[in-house]
Amino acid sequence: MSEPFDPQGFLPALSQTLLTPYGREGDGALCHQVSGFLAAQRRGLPHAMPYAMGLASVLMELSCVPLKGRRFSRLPLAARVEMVNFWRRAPLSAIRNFLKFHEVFAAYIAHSGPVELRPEMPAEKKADPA
Amino acid sequence: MSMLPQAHPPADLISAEIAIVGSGPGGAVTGMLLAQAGRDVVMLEEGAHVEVDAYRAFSPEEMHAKLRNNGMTMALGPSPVAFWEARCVGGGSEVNRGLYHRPSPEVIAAWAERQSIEALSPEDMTDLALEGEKVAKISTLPGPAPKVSLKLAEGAEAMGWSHMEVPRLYSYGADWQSAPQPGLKQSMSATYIPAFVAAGGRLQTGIRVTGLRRENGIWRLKARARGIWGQKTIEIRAKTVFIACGATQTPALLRRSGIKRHVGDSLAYHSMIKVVARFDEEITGDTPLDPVHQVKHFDPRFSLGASVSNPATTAFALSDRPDLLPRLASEWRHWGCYYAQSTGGMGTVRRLPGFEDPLIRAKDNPQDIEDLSAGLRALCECLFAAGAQAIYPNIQGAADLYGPQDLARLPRRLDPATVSLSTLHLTATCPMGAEDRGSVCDSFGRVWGAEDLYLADSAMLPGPTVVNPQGTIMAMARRNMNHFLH
Repeated sequence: MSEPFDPQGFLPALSQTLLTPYGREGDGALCHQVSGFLAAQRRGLPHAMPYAMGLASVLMELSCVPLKGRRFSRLPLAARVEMVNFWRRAPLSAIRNFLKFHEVFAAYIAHSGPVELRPEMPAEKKADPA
Repeated sequence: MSMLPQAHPPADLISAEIAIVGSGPGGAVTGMLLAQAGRDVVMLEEGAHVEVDAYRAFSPEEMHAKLRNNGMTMALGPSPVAFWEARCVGGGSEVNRGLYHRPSPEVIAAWAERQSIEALSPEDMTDLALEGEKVAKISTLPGPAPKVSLKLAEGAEAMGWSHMEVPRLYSYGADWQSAPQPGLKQSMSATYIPAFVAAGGRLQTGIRVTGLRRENGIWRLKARARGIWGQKTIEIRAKTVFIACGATQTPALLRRSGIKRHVGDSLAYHSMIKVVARFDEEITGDTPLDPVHQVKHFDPRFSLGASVSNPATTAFALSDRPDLLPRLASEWRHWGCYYAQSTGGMGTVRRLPGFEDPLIRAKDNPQDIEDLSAGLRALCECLFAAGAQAIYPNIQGAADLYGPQDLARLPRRLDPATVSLSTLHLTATCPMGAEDRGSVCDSFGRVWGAEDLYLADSAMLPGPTVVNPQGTIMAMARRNMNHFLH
């Protein structure tokens, strides 16, 4: 087991929460890996989807305030698990799909062994100059 | 010219007699034949050169090094279809499993008739495929197939359905069992591209062509070069241009360049749905070899196959069944991933102003959903006949199946909103054929209304290939090149 994980922000907090079904939420290195991979996958999405993902993250982070009294990333792990279970049954398919995207990649990385991703090219750009 | 990644920026202006945009199976075959004929050719590839065995297949590292958008490409529509699109030297041949079929004679005959394609015959295409197999070797597995694959064959046998071990573009050494990777994939970067470079062809990586226009009998390609040194805009000038960037990027480039007639109107793809089957005995992890069996009994409506089934890939196969994921670590050796694949997916490709990626839309095709539903049922029957104890269809809210009596619990017709479809085989966005048949290029890949501009990839095929398309793409590129050169 590696160092404990102190999630800073929505994505690291969500990553740690999504590892609880595997009993890996205390594996700091894995939490970092999942969080980093999810961030890279989100950046890789086509069109304006990375922005939509960012906006959805902000909304989901803040949606916990009226329900749990704190932002998602500030909640204790047990409360975050409850929120994820709540989102999993959300009537809005966009919320379920958002969760599915993160859940599948978290499972993929959790079962992939150590991952060493190459740094992205410095000038990577999504906008088309044509 | 080195095949290594460009450590230094390319010149602001690159000139050649012929420019090829893209280095996948179509571009690589075209390039090699042109270079061997003594022509001055430059091949432009947007991605990097990555050694074929640099990464574990289907690993996160491979995903980021070889795939466009880190593997996050999709066709939007009533049922979004996820697909992988390569962005590296060798294109799709670097990221597929190397399963190889010669062109289907029935499909080729149907294309020739429907599109009025001159001099296209199944016999000639088979001969062309055989010629290609001298460069990129195909072989069957050097040892017993993995159990996960044999289970499919066993089930098909019990059902009385025809099945086959599909050969692969692989070369196995005598030491395949002890080697770090069992065999070397005969991808383009290991076969045709080195032959292209050896014949004097120039390969430029990290170059994305953003548009082309013709001036004074010369094609001028505007491009963005990118590397560890940064990025800059460059120009490529060539008398003749072959576009081979794949079924979505080729129409996108044509449309960005003002060539729009029928371009991107007729995307065809094979839709795929997955299930995970649990067996009493361990069926995965028994050999480093990949599954290779397919059931082609129901061609051309649908086919069945076995997929790579390690814990990571199984996580993808259960994307709509998160309830099962916690069991993965302890049970994966008993679980095998299988797929049913139909051939009637349809859609369009359009430019989306302001964005690099084109907009790909999947159209609603009731017949395709019908075929896929029948394929899913047949797959489950086959796996139960092979002794599966449980089958988990990758469908939101679907019931687990514990025997043939549970097949009635499968939806009679899949609801596109509840299934996660994927595809690897996209074709036909710029089909070839007679001018009055909705085609973009003529019988040999020359773009209608554009002088010295040719297509040489899956985009020019007139429809779905029904089988894994790489063999068909390579044979068609060879055919068109023979015509061009002679």
